[in-house]
Amino acid sequence: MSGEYKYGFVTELETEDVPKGLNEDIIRLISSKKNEPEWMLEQRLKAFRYWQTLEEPHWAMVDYPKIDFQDLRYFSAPKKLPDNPKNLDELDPELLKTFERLGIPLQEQKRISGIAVDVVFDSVSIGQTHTETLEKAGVIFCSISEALHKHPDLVKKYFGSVVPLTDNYYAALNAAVFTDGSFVYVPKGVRCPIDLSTYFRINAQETGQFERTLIVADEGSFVNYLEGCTAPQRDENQLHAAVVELVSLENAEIKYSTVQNWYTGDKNGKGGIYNFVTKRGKCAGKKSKISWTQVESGSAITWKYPSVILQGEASEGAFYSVALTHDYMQADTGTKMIHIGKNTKSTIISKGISADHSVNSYRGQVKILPSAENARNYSQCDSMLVGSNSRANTFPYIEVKNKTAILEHEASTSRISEDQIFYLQSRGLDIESAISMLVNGFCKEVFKELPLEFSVEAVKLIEMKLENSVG
Amino acid sequence: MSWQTYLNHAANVTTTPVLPTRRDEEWKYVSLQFLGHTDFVKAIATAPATSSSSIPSGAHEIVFVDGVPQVPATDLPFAAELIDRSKAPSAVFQSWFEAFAALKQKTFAAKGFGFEQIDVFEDQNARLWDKALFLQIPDGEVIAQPIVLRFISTSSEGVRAPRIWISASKRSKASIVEVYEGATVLNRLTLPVIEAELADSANLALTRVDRGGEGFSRIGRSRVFLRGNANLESLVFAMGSKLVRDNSDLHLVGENATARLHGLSVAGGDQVIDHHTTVDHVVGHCQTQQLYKSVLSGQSRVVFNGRVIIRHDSQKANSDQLNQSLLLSGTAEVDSKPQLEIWADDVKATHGATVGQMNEDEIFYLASRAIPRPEAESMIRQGFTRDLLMQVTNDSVREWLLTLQTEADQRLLS
Repeated sequence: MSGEYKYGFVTELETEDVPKGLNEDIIRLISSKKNEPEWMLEQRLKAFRYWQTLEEPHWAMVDYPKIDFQDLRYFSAPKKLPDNPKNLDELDPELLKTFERLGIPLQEQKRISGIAVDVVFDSVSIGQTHTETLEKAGVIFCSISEALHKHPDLVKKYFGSVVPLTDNYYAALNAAVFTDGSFVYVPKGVRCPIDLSTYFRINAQETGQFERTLIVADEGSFVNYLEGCTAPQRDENQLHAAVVELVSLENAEIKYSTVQNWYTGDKNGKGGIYNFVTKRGKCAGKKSKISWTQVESGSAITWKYPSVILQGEASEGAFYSVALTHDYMQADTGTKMIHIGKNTKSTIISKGISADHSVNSYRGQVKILPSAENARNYSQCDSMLVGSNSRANTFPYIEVKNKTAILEHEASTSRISEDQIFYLQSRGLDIESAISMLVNGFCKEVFKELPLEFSVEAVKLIEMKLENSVG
Repeated sequence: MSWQTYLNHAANVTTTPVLPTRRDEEWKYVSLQFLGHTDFVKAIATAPATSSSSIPSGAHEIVFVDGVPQVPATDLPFAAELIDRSKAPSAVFQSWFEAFAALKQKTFAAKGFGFEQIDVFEDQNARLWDKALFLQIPDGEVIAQPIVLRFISTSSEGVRAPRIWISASKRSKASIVEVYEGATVLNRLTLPVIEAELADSANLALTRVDRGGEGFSRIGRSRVFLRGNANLESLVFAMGSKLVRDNSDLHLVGENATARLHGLSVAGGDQVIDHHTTVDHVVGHCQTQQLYKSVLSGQSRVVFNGRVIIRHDSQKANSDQLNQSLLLSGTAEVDSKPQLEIWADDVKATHGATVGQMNEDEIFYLASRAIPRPEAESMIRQGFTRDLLMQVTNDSVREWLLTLQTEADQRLLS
């Protein structure tokens, strides 16, 4: 693989850390560092105590050495961070440089691009752009720590309402030790004037990143949210266990897109991020909509299922995914669509590409409960194998408890055919461009769901990653 | 593994098995709580075998009374040996058994596929059977009349454990039909295990019909190995019984082998029918096709869990899988879990699943042809599944299955 990971550098910064290990004192320390209200600390402790009673899950088609949760640092933040950076100019220039290298020039972005960015560096959010435009529209876009102080009622109302503390092993861990993340609230009837984006960066060594994102779209509102992530190239594995909750009320719509490009580990599978994430949205109101679009091209191990609970009548959920694995990467990803309300609709389009020695599994669930009259689901999950040492698995779970449901599921596995390559070569394309064209065609249905900037990035990303792995 | 090792292993199986719960992925959709009080002891027959008018015409019949085969004395065009646990079996069986055990071991030993399929029920079968049956279809022999294995239960206590080995020799052709019937009293449990080897170019049809009463449960496994150019035609037709758990495993160990696994479930009341298939492409150039259809009414539940494995060296494998369900009632439930595990790149594998209800347009069309609604619905229901039966190649088996289908459809209404 010649397409080297260009985000693998480390920023030299003085950091403020908590000691390694996980216990109630550490959790109290994190909470006090963030000056949190008492109820939040209680929630954290409750989650931690519950987490201690759980066993680590092993049902996924992924294989990794046991994680020592006591050997991780649960909080790490750049030291020279002003208490409340109102202006991004106040930030450490080293930090700003980091984001310039990552292709996110915070300064310029303020002026030229139409996207508001929240930047999360290790355990803390270091600032947002475009705050004024958003304030004018009444949209709240800030770090979750800030929201806890400024909008405690909103946070209290929705926090943990979609992914409860007790949901699963990693969600409980996250609820106990989460450090930062983004909070979005779009008020009634507001169409968020610009796209919102969060950029996650893991920098410090031996830390885990546990961020928490909460997005609430009130009645009749709309928001487009993008998420990107990178990490330095290190030999040891790092854990990223985030929780994302989306709440969509009556007639509201949330579009959530991710381009995940965490460090994948080297050619021999050494190092890389363990991306164990719980993402779930709830279509709580009538005719509400949530769509997840993801391009998963990084992480040593990806283990996540962005899901939608379709509770509101005639609500709609969608999941569009491209998951690319290469070298020794492992991915077990997919979605869950839980139909509860009448006339609910869901669409699943999943494209998996596995190259080299990687394992790529789609695991998805479509559940139609007895109350979901006239539910409709369409699922398609296709896999493409590149090279003969890779593996592709599909594990769809379909559970139907209502006779009015109409459900279709189809899947196929194939490889790029020699005929197709031959055809393109006879038209003057070299083999690399031919393959890239075929792969792009394979993923097109998903890419077209991405916002323009991401769409271009995603195509390039896939091309770069597949370089030299075919032949 | 020698015959003696097998018997020694079986003798060491626990007499108090721990039954799987819904926490086990393999038993995710079926609760076995009602079997909680089952005593895992041999069922002792309380009545002799009775004859049945409802088997395919012209068939050779072997009746199993509470799991024990009764081999008829008449001349048969195939070898049927009664294996007694306490006596040494024939040299023919022993040498076949050893070769088969070696093949099994080699296939299961491959890493990464998790063949932990010798489950608690198969173990119990190994411990409990007294007399087993070994069928051998001779080289090149084509047997037109179906061979019917009919399983009846007379005892209300204990567990039945029929055990059958089938060796289909080179270029032979036969059609074997298993019929499970009887038992309206609660909790009659049968744990059959059937293993078969299809030698080069052998052709075998295996049809399994569950028409037990509402107290009858079958948790069974069939395991078939196909050598080069062999062909298997399998159909599981579940129309009765309280619980049917059918594990059909297929290992394609010879190139150009082809297999067709079909399943048809007509479920009503609180019946639970759970099909688990494993199709393992060990070598390349094999073709498999799976089609499972179900019609559900009442509070019944039908599960389809189809696992397809295409191993690393099985290039040019071709595998299709489709599961279609027709839901007639608001309280029935369908669970479908197709699984593809693919390790080779030059293969074609597809799967699909559909769930739907009766099409009103079709009923309207038939009504406009003066066909009353009940009849129209019956036509649509039967039409939905008939294609599976029409593909059965043995004429007498097919005719018999078609009459059973009508019977199953009528039962659905009552």
